Amino acid sequence: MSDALRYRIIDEPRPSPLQRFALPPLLVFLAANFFLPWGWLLIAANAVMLNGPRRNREIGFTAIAIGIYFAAIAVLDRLLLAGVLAGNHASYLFIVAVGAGLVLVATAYVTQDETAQLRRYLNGQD
Amino acid sequence: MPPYERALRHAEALLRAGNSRGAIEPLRDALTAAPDQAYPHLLLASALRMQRRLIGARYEAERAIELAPTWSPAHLELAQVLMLQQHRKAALASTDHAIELAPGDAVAHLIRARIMRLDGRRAEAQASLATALELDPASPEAIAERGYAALEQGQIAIVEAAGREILSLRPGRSDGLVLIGHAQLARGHGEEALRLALDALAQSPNNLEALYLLALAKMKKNPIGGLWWRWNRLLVKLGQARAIFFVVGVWVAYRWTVIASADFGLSSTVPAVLSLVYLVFVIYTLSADTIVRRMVTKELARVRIKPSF
Repeated sequence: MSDALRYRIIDEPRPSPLQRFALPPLLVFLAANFFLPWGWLLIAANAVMLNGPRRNREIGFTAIAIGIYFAAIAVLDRLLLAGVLAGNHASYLFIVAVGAGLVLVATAYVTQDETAQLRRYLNGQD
Repeated sequence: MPPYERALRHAEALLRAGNSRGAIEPLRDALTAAPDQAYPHLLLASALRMQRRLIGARYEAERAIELAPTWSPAHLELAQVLMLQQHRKAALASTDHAIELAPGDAVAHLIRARIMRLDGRRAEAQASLATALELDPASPEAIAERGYAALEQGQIAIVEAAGREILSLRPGRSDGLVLIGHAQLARGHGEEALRLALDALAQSPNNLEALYLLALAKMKKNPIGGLWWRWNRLLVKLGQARAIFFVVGVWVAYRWTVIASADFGLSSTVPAVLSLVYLVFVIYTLSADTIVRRMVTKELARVRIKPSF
């Protein structure tokens, strides 16, 4: 019986034409955080290549993280211009916003890492 | 014998022998032939749980419940998966539901005791364990739970007594060896603990408590390994979500300190030193898991698995 007709376990990554381009999630996570916020797109791209069971959630989390980043810039900019915030307070708040983005991106990284580990395990490399 | 039955019997035999990895393919065959049977879904959930493939295990347990809503083993399987996913409230609800369906099931009370213990609710854990032991006084699993509860409270004599009681009921059983190993380790006999962990793994290669003891004994041998182990255990104990918040929290604190040092006009050396400390923290955190895994894997090469496995 062909593999396509056999029962598929939900956590198994689906075959993807891009899977050979998938990179180790840890490497992607580290590299992505050096080039904020666009570096986070790398994590979304890796989600597509890994094609794991939580691919859409990973892409969504990355998109939200990028959204938080730019929303924080816009909001803090307005608050600064309006004189609501003084001095370096905006910098402290901006770090909190990036931290919130990082929580989402790190969650995406964790599930990607699980997918990558499972793929290695299923291929008998672990 | 029809292919469905054959695949199921094969999987059951493998699971009985503790070979959860090997059981997955026959269960896939069984489910290909009969996708609407709750039993193979339950067995698959159990095999995946043992392999720590928790996303798959949870889906399979939920599917088994969907197909047989009043079947208590399916609720218990889901409870065990939820417990490993650190969803203790949901795990407890699932266990309580299983107990409603089968009040005389000792295993259900035992799982309830384990969840309560992990949740730090000692009195309730003891009450559930007492019920489990009342229903099945010779259950090695319940005696082992008594031993692990005592281990958490540092009652080493009880831990050892539980281990010996298990071995008197079932000679060579891995739970008993692990508990005695913990007692030996607590008394400073690391080599003996290591040997007992290896013996337990030879009996039951999927026994995670034995693997935990092996890692603990190995890591306690040197201070750096011990530090790595403690840090890794802290992150595991926090659970995935809390660990992420914790690590990101450290990053936020680091960045705030760098900004504050400029605000207070401190020398540029201060942020440089902070960055270096933070870098060491990141490298340490990221490498802890890999290093612990490598040290344990190296030790696992010494395990001689029993031929029946």
